[in-house]
Amino acid sequence: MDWGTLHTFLGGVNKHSTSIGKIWLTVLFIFRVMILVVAAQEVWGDEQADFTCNTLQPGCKNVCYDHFFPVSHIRLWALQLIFVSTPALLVAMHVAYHRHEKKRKFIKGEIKNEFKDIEEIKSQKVRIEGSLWWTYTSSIFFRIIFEAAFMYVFYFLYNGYHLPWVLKCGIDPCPNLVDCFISRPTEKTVFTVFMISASVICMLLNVAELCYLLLKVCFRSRRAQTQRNHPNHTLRESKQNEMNELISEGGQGTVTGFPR
Amino acid sequence: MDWKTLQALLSGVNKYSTAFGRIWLSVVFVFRLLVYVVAAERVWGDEQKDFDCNTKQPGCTNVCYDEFFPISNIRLWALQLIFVTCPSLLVILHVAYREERERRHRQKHGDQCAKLYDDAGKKHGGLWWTYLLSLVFKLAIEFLFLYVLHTLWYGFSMPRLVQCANVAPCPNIVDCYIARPTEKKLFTYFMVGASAVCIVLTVCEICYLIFHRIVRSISRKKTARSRSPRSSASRASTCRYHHKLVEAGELGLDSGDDKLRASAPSLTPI
Repeated sequence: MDWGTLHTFLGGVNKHSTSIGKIWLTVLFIFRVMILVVAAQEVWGDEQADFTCNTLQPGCKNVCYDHFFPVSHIRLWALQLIFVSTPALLVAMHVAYHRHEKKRKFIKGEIKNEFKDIEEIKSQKVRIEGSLWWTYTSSIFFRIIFEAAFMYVFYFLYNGYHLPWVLKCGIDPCPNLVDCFISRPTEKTVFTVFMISASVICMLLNVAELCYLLLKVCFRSRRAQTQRNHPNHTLRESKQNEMNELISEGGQGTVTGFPR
Repeated sequence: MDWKTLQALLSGVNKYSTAFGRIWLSVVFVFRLLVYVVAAERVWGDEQKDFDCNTKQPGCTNVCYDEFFPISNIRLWALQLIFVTCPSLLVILHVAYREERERRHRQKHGDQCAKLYDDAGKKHGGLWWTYLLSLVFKLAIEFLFLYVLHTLWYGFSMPRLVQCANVAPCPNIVDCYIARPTEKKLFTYFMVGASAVCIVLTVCEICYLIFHRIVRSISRKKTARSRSPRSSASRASTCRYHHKLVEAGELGLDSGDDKLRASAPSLTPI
């Protein structure tokens, strides 16, 4: 079980996402998960071993490290990525339930004319409408909440996103105010800023996706209202379309005109 | 052999689980196994090396570490995850047994006879009891491990300082400092929380199974006069009786289903 398995879980959801959702997933896995695994983990690998304090007092280094880094950056990012990916599983479960219901109806014979066989039900792309729209929108909303929450926790725990070279520590059993030096502070700052920026981009993509879904629903309801208000107009239009199709099928290569 | 193998084994259980069971499996894979592998394991990676005692007495650090951590949290969680996921394998074994029995029955009696099971994976009869038992085992194991974790580590907290007293070869009361206690405490709470969520899901699933069974038996009693699905044992005995009649020459080989229905009026047609 590792990030690859999570990628497989979420890859299934990708088929039913909007285009912005697909971009979000790509940014998540390439610019955050992959960077975390191949680069960031190496940078933070020796974090406690190379955290050096200017004292020989046993226990002082442990206590100072624990005070300044209650939770390591790497672990917080891992938890953030897991929590941010989890709402997509709600969508996956809803799609699976939707398919299960269709399969049940197909077996009973209620929707036999819509599908050839069960395989077609499995491969059909589910549209984001009705209750699935609500599930999908809630999942995006939760993603935004989790991203914002973790960014705030980071800011709160580490007093900003910058790591200093030296920290001063006077906690028991340290005998006095002791200087402690973090290993690779500049590299860690660079990666912290990078991961935070990727977080911000993902959040903006989620906000854009949410706006897109809301606009889509508004347009759809407006179109439905227009159709209800002017049914004759649309009926005439659809009949015209049918006639045009018949003409184009029947007279290929001949000059056609519109019927009067 | 690693966590991926266990995951592959358990993915097969999903087909036979209820909705609660599938949610439980997702919670176990994402919030317990994945968090364990990508985060928690590393937090405990340097635990003995960075366990610092205020003494120069050789052996004192080792002895104190062993006194406070008879078994590491991380190993206990690995054991918990393996034990908690194993009862689900009982269900897979039972379904495999049913399918094997069906196969042997077909081999012996041919395709004329009715199937032993309409659906080997449906939770009726013995499989319902196996599934319920697996849930009860899961619950018991979760509680047991939570109790052990609580007892061995004085609650779920992780102090910064532990004092090692009256343990040879330490000369006096020695102060020992645990590495990353806050991070360890956070992950302990997280894993205990995930355990609690799994316990709640398991309890809900047990209640759902029992409730569903009661409702099914009440509705069956209401329609008691109509045909009900027969057990696999009675179908097997009907088949054996049919074959005996065929062998004794009382039935022609082409009499097939009609005679079968005559000998077993409540047979469910295939």
